[in-house]
Amino acid sequence: MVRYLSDIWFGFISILSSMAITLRYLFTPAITVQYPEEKREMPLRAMNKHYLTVDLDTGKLKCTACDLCAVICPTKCIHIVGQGKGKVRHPVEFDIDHNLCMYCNLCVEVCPFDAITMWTGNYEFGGFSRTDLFIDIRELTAPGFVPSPMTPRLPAAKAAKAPARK
Amino acid sequence: MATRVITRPPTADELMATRASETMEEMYVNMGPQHPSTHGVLRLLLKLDGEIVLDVWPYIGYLHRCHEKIGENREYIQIIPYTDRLDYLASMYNNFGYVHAVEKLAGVTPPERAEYMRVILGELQRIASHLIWLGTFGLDLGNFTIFMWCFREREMVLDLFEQVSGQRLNYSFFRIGGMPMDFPEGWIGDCKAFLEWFKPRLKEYDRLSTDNIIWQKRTQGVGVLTQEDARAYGVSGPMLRSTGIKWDLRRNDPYSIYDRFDFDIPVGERGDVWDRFWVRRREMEESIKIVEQGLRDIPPGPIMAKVPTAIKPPVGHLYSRVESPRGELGEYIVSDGSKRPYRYKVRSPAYVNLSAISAMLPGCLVADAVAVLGSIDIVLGEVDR
Amino acid sequence: MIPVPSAHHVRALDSLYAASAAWGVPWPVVELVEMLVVVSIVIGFISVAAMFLIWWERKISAHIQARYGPMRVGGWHGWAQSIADGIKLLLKEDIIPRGADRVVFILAPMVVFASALAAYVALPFGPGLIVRDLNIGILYIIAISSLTVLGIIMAGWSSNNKYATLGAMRSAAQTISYEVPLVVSLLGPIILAGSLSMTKIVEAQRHLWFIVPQLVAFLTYFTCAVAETNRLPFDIPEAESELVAGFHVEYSGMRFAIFFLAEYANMFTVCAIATTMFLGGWAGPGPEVLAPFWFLGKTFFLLFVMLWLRWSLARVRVDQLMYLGWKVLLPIAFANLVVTGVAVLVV
Repeated sequence: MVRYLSDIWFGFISILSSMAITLRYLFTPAITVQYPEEKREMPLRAMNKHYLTVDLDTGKLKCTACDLCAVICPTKCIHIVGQGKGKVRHPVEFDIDHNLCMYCNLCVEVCPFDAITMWTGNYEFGGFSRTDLFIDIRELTAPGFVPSPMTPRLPAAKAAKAPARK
Repeated sequence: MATRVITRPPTADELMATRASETMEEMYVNMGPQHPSTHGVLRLLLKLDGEIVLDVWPYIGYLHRCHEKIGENREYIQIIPYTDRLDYLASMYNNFGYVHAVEKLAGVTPPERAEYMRVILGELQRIASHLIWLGTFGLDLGNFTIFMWCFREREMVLDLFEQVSGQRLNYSFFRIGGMPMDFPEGWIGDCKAFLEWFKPRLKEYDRLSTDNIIWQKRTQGVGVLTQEDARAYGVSGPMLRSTGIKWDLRRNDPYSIYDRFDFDIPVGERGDVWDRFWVRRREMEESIKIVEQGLRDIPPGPIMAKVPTAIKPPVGHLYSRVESPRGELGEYIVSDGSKRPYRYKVRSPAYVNLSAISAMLPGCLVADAVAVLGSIDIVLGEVDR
Repeated sequence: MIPVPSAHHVRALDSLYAASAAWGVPWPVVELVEMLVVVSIVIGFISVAAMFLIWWERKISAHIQARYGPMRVGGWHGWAQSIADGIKLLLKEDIIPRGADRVVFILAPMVVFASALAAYVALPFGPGLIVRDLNIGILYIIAISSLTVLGIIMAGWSSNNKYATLGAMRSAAQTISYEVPLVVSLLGPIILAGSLSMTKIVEAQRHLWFIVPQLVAFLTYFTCAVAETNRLPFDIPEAESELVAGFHVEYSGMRFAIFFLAEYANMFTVCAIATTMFLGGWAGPGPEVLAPFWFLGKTFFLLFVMLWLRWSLARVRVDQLMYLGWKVLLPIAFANLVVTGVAVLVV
């Protein structure tokens, strides 16, 4: 009998306690971000769409079509066709199939020339069909130059125009 | 019950017979692949007598993605992103288990700082995984609020992970021989701030869960797993510890640098749903302790040992295991000296723990089926590989 | 035949009767027009109240969970969300399952809504604002709102779906089990007021609201009210994450909307009863023209408590639900009744 009554009393108090904390939360501000009016600040290393980087001195792509990234990619989503030999070697076709891409960063890590980067801050590249996600060299170089943290000698003017990051 | 007769699932004739019968005494009900509470694509065929579950047969394989076969055709470093997708709620620990196995096989020792980073990230991942588990478990029991609150904390952990690795869910951040990148500037301060924010949150969750009478009544005494059954089925992780057996690979078979950390192993008493909940809730507190010790003691230094890009472990085979948030994650790798493993097998803890459902569920009510399934903490990506 | 106007009969209707008599319009026609107008007003009120409640529930649940809720539809905090949802439900395809009993299937939501609607006849919104001041007011409301069980069983049975039938049976068992302590706990204030009429009960609380002497009865009543309206923590019949999906699983589009509307109408009714019986009805400081606002304010406060309860607690299991209803609430309600009765005799 005592157990029965104390059970009821404990139940009642515990329910009031749960309700008290819920009430406190009712008056705390919400934490969600109203996209697309507000956008969250992305950290520097957030992996987004690939871009091929450009050498500041020469203005040309750093990529020499050495195929290292294509070989290491686990899903084989990179296809490169290069042209030329030695120092003038450059890619004419560089396709990344984002339907297959796993965003593992292996292609960025293995590149000896720091020619490709995923730290670009562009995550809004969704499309309406699968072919929209098949990105060719024009799209990969479209913005011209995107600074990567390991890019040497980032001039002050370019840094001012770089997208805001933490 | 020490011994249990394994029954076979019903044949089509038996199913039709129960459907055509006038009385609805015994019936077979599908908790089908599409269900809000089966935590993925899992089919449970339940045999019910009114409200009581008489038998259960889990059907898995809906999420099978040929992980182990893919592993045979990839180089060791290329498998790392695939291991993320196994238990996608605890990706860091999957990476950890795999990388640890390959390092043992190849005889590579990662540097000290890398080891500390691994432990810190692994324990943060344990916190995140248990938070999801707590949230979805609350959702199964009917409490939507705790789901949202747990996800809010998990978002903070994911933000920390995004700052380190660039990804929120499938990090592939471990490499054979160390880590690819160091902590960014200010990360350690952010991590400490998160831990300070998180400790009182656990008390808040308590008010909605541990101290709430409805939660207690739903979970205490339900879905009991005895110690003999736990040993017989080979369950591991929080499920094993909830039955009273104090077995944690971080203590009993230490790997990496876990022997340098001071933490408790929470153990349950009866092996019911409440104990499983309580063990995981206490584990979150212990993980906080480990992360704090790691952040305090982490030495400066290199983060990557000298290893070739294409690793070729010597011929041999190895089984290595780590304590993932779900249990014993084992990796069995057979190497034939080339760049690709000859055989790569994953012993997934959720798969083994799920098989114990046949011992826990008979005798429960239908409403408890959801609670018991939630308390096992399965992730179908790991169950099906 | 011709109902006797109540003491607070509004003057406008008197002149309407006089004018209609002058024009030669027969009495029953006037009565019919009056009834149709009143029913439309009540249905309109229910719709607006239900839509507001749905929006409010989403907002409250969102802020408890540290998020925003509807924000876009209609501009300011998504106030038009419920309207958009209603329009969407109206435009959905009307599916009747193949083996279903068509007549019963179509009638079931109507029965549920009709019984929810009929309870509004005796709710005292203000000093003269009651559709009919029945002298058995509260008894009538309780009796008519128990007809929802019939509608639920009709819905579950006619769906030709094993799980819907099981869900309907569970819901019926729950509703019937909690009706008993609900009625017994209401007997406390009825004894104190000495009448079943809603307006007399409100007037009896002129000096002291009945919640003070009858706190236990109020808590018991409120718990039973939450169970009657199938709200969490007693929402087994509608539980989405349970195995058996509920009695309205086969309903889509406007038929489902009617069930939904009836549930919110029911919620308003039970909170209105609580306001009348325990919180003093329309009583409040200020001029009498403010009385309906006091009534609505108190009712919405109780509705807020119902919503608040939903988002704080987990679901009670079926057998524990039965235990709670029969072995906890009913003895408490009886004890309260005995104590009240003895107190009234002695004092």
